[in-house]
Amino acid sequence: MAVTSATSTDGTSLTISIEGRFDFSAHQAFRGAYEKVSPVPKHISVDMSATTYLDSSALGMLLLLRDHSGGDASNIKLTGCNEDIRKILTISNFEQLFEIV
Amino acid sequence: MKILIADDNTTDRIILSRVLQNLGHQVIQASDGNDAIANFIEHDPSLVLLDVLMPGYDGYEVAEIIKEKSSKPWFPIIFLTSLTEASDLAKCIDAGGDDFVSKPINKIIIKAKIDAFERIINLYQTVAEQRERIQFHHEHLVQEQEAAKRIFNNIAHRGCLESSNINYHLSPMSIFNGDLMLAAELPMGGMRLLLADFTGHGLPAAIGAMPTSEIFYGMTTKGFSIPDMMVEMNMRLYGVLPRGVFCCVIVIDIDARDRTLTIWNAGAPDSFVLNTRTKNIEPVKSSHLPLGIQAPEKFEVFCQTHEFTRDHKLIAVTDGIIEAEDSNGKLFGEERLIAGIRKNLHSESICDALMEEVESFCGKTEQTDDVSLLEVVLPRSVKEEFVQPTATSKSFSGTCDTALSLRLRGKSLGTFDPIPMVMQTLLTCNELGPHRARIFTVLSELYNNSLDHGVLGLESEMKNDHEGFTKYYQTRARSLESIEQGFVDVSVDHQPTEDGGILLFELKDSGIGFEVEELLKRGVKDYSGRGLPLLLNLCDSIEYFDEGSRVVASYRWKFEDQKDKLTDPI
Repeated sequence: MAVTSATSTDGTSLTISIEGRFDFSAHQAFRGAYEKVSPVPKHISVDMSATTYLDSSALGMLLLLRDHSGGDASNIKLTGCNEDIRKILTISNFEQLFEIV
Repeated sequence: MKILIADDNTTDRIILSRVLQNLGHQVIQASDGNDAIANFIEHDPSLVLLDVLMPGYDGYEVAEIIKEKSSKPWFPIIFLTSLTEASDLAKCIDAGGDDFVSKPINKIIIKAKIDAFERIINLYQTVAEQRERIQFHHEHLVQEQEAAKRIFNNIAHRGCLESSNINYHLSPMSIFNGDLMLAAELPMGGMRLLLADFTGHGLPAAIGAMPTSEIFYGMTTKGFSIPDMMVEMNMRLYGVLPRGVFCCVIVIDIDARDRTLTIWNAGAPDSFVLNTRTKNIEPVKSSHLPLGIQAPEKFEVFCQTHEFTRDHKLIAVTDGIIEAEDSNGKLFGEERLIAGIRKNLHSESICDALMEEVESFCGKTEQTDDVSLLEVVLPRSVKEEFVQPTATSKSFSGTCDTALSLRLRGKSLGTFDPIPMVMQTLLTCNELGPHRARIFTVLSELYNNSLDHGVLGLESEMKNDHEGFTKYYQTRARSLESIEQGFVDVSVDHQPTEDGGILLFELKDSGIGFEVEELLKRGVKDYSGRGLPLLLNLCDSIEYFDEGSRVVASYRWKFEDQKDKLTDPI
């Protein structure tokens, strides 16, 4: 598991990338990736093209990110999801909360 | 530090003693092997400096005895030797020594070695203390978990989960995996089940179980519908759970008389409705966010209704079975689950068969700790809860002499279920307690007839075949969602009599009515005829007026009826 993040030069968008398993072990790193950015960027995308696995604690972390960036007013994209991950997101109906690209 | 020096050469021993005392150590001297062992036992030193060649026990033997007798986590022995052969030096270590110093002793070297050993002794001491503390905390935690488990089991008890129509698998510590399984009988017969999976492990996962089971048992016995109950549960969990913790849930109502199964899946893996005759396996997919995520004002519940006869079975699971891993980290997965169900379709317990499949897949049983599995078939008979007679004297209480009526119009018909409210009001008359199931049945049959056939104009004949059956419930749900017009009047008049009381139910709807005569002629035999056989069985009289758009039913109860049970009319 490795979490990396990049903020655009104008500070309005943040991309967080997760490599490998996205589970509880990513908790600190994932939280750190968005909490250190101030002000909260308008556009956030979570790049999961290198993510192999996603469990329910990861779903919880995504909810925390959503809450942090304004709840219903947030604008979060989940990108590069493989079929298994997409399935887990669909079971939980997370497409109602996140834009799954 | 307390140091024991064992050396038969008095001069060497005294010089070394001085050196160590000057460095601030406390020194005990022994002049031979036996003396060394006696002093070791008496003074309990932290380190021993041992001459190899001594009368009595030699240094090697003393080392072995001391190592064996020492109660310390680590006891260092340094050999003092004038031997220089590599094999002799190696023997010092083999005998249990930790180091050796060549004679004549060099002050700087002996100081450095003793300092180094002191550091290691301290490290061992720290580790031992920490281990002890961790062990204490661990034991404490296990005790607390045991106590918590007992408390949780009292609150989140399993209701009627042991009924003969249910097979299940649930780990004894499941509450700490966040899994919860509840079952309760519905007031008008049939059963409600709930399988919930809170995210996370340990106490945080268990805490959500308390409000969940409280709401489940409270609202189920009062006859609230699944949507009403789930709205309440979501509202409570949304308030209680921290963001990031949520609850995947499957909730199921089985109506044993109508032979229907109503199900709602929010965030859990597919459940399956099996038909053992046609071998059809129909998945019930998650159609909503898990509980505790969506704000109450946006939360909506749309259940699915399936036909559920003696040929049918329901399997519900949490993600534990799908995510069970074998030794290579490969997941059990949904395909194996479906294949396992298909293979064991006619098995006495599909649940047990699936558990065997998972265990043989994983190789180790402890990995199946958080697998929760529920298998349900149609209940055999409809049982009524046993109600203790409330008082020996024939008294009347609460609404024993009361008339109430309400009119539901338009949108309210789609959003409000009046039955629990009316029931609760009627049941303030304690004497009606034993009649609860019967009264509930009469009232809901009458109300549903008025709503379904009267206001919505649905034909009960639709339910005669499989496709019509599904279509009936779909049409009903869609119509109720968009309903703007129409009404149902519900009136109940409760009057005391000498030996009990009479409940008069009057329902009027905005529908066009129906062929009353025709229905009454064949209704007694035909089960799709507006539940009429059941109503005729339970009520003393039923009369239709205004071309069938108004019905009056009377239900007479007596004090001695208290042990009556509602039996399955089918």
